Amino acid sequence: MAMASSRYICSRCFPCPRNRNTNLYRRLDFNSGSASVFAVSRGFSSLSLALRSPGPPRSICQSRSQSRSSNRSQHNRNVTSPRATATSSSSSSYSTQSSQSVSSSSSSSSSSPSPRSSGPPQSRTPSFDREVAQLATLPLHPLTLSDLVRFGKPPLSPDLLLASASFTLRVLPIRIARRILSLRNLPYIVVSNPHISQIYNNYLHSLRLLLSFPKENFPSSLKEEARFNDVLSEIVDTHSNTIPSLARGFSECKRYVAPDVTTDFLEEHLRARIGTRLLAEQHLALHDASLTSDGHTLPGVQATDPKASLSTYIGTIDTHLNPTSIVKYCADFVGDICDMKYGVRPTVIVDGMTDAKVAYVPSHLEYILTELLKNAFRATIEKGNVDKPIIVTIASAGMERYDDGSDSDSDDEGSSSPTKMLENGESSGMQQDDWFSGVRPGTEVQGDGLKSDILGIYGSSGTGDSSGADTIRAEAARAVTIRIRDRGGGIAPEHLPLIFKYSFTTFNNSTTVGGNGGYGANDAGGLDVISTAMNEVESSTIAGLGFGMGLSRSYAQFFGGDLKVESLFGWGTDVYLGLRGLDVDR
Amino acid sequence: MSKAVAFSLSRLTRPSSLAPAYSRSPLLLLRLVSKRSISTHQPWRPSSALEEHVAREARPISLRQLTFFGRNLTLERLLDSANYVRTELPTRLAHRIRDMQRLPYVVVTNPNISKVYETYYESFEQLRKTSEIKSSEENDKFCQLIKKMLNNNLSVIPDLAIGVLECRDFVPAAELDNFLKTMLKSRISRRTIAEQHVALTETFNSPFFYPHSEGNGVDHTNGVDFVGEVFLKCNAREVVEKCGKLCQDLSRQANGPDTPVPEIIIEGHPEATFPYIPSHLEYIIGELLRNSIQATIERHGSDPKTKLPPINVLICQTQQFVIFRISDQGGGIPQDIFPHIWSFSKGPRRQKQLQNISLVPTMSATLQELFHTSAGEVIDKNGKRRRGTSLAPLSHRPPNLRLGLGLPLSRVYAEYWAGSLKLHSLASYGVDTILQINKLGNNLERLVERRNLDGI
Repeated sequence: MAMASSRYICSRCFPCPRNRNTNLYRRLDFNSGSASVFAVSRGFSSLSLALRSPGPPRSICQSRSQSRSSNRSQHNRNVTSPRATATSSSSSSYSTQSSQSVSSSSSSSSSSPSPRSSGPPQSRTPSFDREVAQLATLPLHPLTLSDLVRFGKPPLSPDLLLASASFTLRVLPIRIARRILSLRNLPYIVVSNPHISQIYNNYLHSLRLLLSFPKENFPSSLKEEARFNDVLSEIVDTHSNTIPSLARGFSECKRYVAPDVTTDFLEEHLRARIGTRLLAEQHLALHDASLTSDGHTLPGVQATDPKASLSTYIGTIDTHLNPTSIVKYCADFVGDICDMKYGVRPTVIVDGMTDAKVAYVPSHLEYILTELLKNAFRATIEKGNVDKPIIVTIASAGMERYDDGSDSDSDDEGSSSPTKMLENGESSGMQQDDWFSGVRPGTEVQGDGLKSDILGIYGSSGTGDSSGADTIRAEAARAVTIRIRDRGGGIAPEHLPLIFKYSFTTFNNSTTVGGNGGYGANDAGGLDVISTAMNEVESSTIAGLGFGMGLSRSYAQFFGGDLKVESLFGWGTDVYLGLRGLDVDR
Repeated sequence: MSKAVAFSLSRLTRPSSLAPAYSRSPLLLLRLVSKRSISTHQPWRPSSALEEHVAREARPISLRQLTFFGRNLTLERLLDSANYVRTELPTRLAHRIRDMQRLPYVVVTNPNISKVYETYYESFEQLRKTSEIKSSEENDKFCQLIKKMLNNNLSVIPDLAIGVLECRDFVPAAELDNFLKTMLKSRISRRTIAEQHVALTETFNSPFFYPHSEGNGVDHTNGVDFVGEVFLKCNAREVVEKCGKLCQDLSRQANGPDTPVPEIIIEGHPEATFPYIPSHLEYIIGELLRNSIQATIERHGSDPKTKLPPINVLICQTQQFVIFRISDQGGGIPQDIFPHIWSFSKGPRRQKQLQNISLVPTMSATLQELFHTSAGEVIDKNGKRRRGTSLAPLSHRPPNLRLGLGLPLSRVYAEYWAGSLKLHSLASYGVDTILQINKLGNNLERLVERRNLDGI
């Protein structure tokens, strides 16, 4: 009931007085992958028209989120590190996940307008459709690590925190709108599936929440920022456990959809999801790290704050991430599970440049390494080579920027050409644009203004934290390669082409493929207990779905890295994980 | 000359529209010929002959087929082989000539490319005019012709490499690379069948001296390791050891006898055997090991007391493949170069490499030519097996002269017999190269990229 009424109000707040047919045009235009200037400019005008509408729902959203704010701040009070934020948010919702469905916002009260857990897709209003289509045509900013750390080390000054919130509020709706559009373009029978339908409705709901905020000068105070933060955290929670639903839905629809369609959609969706979540979690983490425990006052920005001087984190990013320690942490974890399941554990030797440091998202690296080590451990044990150590070699190199005019086109042989960095967005072919310009329809002046605002803060505000920001902004990229070399017998040649596919699209669940190690084989009965036992980013949610390698590669590629596998069949496997991090020391 | 080339090219690139006109109108033909005779010293070449050969399809051959002629060698089979080579060479040459004709004018007028074009056309004309070989004497004459061509064409690789580098601003790099790859692959194929035939002829002509008679070579039908150029039982460990030793010697020769040389450790299934053309495999392994050794020394210093990290070579075999994985700790490949390691024309160091290549007059792309040998001294213990064919060290280059051709050329060799070559760089740590060789020898040669085939 509550949901229905909120939907009604929300749709009313974006009146769409005209041009219903141009909506169709724009959607087609988006589907073709090219955001034409025409469509964008039309989108600007009509959207800005929508922005000017008065906001009765604002008050509703306000009250709703205020009721929830206490909930969230309580939740965050104990959080000390951003990594813990990511994990605890997913674990909390995991533990509260009810049996019938992954309901949105488990932390929210019953008054929350959570979407129905099943049933046909929510009916939509034309105006909302228009808005979605318009948002989706806007250029998507590809997320880079340097963008994420651009606001500098927390605690942030109020201005910077507001800038971060404002930026998140600008970019997030575009990404969500694209997800919605992408889901909408799936066959009807797929989206009608209760699982997929629920995910679809989650996205619609999240977008409505975000669009209920004023478009101009918001948030302008810390109070408003807190309100936004609460909504954001609810959105993050809503979507934190959707991958099993997604997988279940698609596997139920396997008969109706070509495997390629499924694979393509999932790949794009999961990749986009990484960015969307990172963006939201980054702001949440910055918020938490910038506010004192009472949730309302900012600490002074003096360097005396012990939290500031000790922590190497900027939001979800560890600026002094030591890959060796993550490898050891993950190896210990996987080893424990092996002990439990097999009674033995292979040893892991870490060599190479073991003291390398890089700025990266630790949760991503943890997910990838757990997945890779899980495969290596399992293969080694099943091959009977427990006495042969798994050798993890870490290499790290600063990357000089080089300018060779003729090199701008990508080279297919280069495993990680810089252009890849641009492709972490959703669909290629969209115009890659500058951070702020063009993000907001019809408000280019404001966009520029904000840009200079932020530069101004860096340059002259004298808040004391500019030192951190400056060194980070002047950063160079750092390439880290982690080679995991096992003696687990390699991957059978016939399985090799499938290892990055989502297994339920390639393997029939009833037939167990494999015996040749964990790679690409049906994971049922393998070390999947690891995934369920581990409360890391995604792993709690994708046990046994065979998502591991594909998702790991998506994570690695997200910031311009890559994941490559060399199988020496009969001997072992080499996995090369290349990461592009930031070089903060320089 | 450029005018002449321009003229002949503009004619040749539109053969379908113009060639019939020539035959119909003798007057026009006459005028063209007379015009040419004024402006050029190039011979007149009727395009119809080329057209005819371009229209023919190459007949790829497998390693097994290559050995077929040689088992139970009889005069009949020898002549079969001769006539296969006689018809196949001009066909394959014609395809490459047509490839060159399709290149932009600016490229083919480059002196180096133009030189190759002329060389190819000349060889084509000579070969197509050879009539069917019906006797041993005719075959001997034919072999002389082939040998001469093999020697004359040794400058083709440097010429092409320089030409392509000089033209890198005019044509997209991918296009140039693709062109050069096809040219080289085709060149390997032509040399393979030609040398195979020469080797068979020599075997046939000296029945009382079989080149490797020291072991089991007296019997020509059973237990023979070599059939012509093909070594039936390439042993993975032996190849690596041999190449490793050569490269270590090479390194000492270049850096001084006291400099430490990294040890080469072989592990895995080293006794894998498979039929292959040793010179091809040795070239690849040699280039890879040479890179690894040089990188390791440069990275870890040449102090005699230093213990250099070893180079690990893993050999592993599956039903179909033999895989060589060479891991070094030579510091990896710099980020700016890495994207271009497989390219012949692209990358930041090309100007320097261009100068280096111009120091190399001829290149047969074999391991042996890396050595300065004095007075034909044979370092290769298998040297006598080569029986003076063109794969013997006919040309030399200083060992540490960097050409930027080793990796892409190795990949061409690997892909030629349906193998593959991959490289993973661990930046500022080391490099893993993975060479996959097709073990069964029943794969056909890979002559051209698909898209070139479509163009024919």
